[in-house]
Amino acid sequence: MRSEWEITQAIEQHGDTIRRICLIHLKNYADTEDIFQNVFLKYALNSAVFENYEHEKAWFIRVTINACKDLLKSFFRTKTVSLDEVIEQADIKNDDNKEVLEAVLSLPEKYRKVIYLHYYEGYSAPEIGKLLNKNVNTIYTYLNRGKQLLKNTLGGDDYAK
Amino acid sequence: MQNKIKSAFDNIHVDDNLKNQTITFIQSKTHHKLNILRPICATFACLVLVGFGGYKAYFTPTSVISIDINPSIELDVNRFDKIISVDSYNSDGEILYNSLDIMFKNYDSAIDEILKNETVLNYLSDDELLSIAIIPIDENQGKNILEYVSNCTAQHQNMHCYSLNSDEVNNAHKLGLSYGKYKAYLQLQELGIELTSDEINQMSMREINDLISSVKQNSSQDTNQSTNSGKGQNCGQNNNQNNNGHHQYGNQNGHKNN
Repeated sequence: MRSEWEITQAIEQHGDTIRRICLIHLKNYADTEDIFQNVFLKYALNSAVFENYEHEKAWFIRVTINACKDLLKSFFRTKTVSLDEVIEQADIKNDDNKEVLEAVLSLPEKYRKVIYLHYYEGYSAPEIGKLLNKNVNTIYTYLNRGKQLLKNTLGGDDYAK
Repeated sequence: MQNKIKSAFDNIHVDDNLKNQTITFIQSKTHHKLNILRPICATFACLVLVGFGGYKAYFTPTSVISIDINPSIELDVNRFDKIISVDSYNSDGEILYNSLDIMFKNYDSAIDEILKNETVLNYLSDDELLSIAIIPIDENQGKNILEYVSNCTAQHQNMHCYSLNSDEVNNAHKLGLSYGKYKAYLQLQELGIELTSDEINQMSMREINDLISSVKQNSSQDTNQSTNSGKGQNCGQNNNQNNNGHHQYGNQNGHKNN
């Protein structure tokens, strides 16, 4: 079992990433809290040794995505709320950012997480394929379709790049 | 696009409240886990100790009964008066052992079964001697066993029982002899009769007894002490009467004829 110091460090380093992944998967804050706590409990009880920060981060991303998928399949998941409420809960002041976030969160789930992992976390398509255990060509397809949908929603040429 | 998405998601942070809640949650879960594990571990440790202690208590002999005719067997008795081990010390002992079903029975039932055993009765009807030596590790139990065996053998002329100090015979098993035969071996040595442990092991108690008697008779012109282990019942503490004759086994009567 990991020490309290290790857990606190991990929350500081990866907490925001987990919160963002929860946001793109879940539609309410109560579920986010559950996933957040359970992912770190799993980390606390896990004795795996990580080679570096990136390795640890990839572990957190994979565990969080799986936990979100399990919760979405679960009968006991909390009632979902509207997208506006989700954005509200995220407490974003800037309107442009709100609009982008709304557009990303409106994408189908399979495009949403690929867009997030590629554009925000900076993972390449092969890396995302490994993380999600999917064929790399599927990831390319999701990325292109996601980009196209974003372009349609937000307009402007820069979204097609 | 990358910059805009980055900028949008950069605004998403986990609040301190959720961080603190998570730390508290993990503490409660892990401590709870330890709290459950602790009594389980303690109970398991206690069970192991009790089990091991019980096993050790049950399988530690507190008395030994050495039974010798020509077959030589030894019964280990535990503190609960149960037979926990039967060892044979020669081939006849092995045959006798195989005809008995005395493991985990009370010593009294075991003695009864042995005294009623067909092989033993055949030996006794051939005028062989049955020697029963009690080696008490727990003195009280030793007394009880000796008392019981004395009562059993009182009616039989060819049976002979006595108590032996375990220190006296602690080398017996190193020589491959039962305690009873080892005592006879010591007596023969004191009388100056040099026999190997193998030779002793092949001799019947009648042959050993006759040998001791004849040596004593020949060498004790100045004393009237007769041997204490002759025919007939002779129960109680072992007499350690020594004579100083120096005779060789080959020159004596009563050695085993093969």
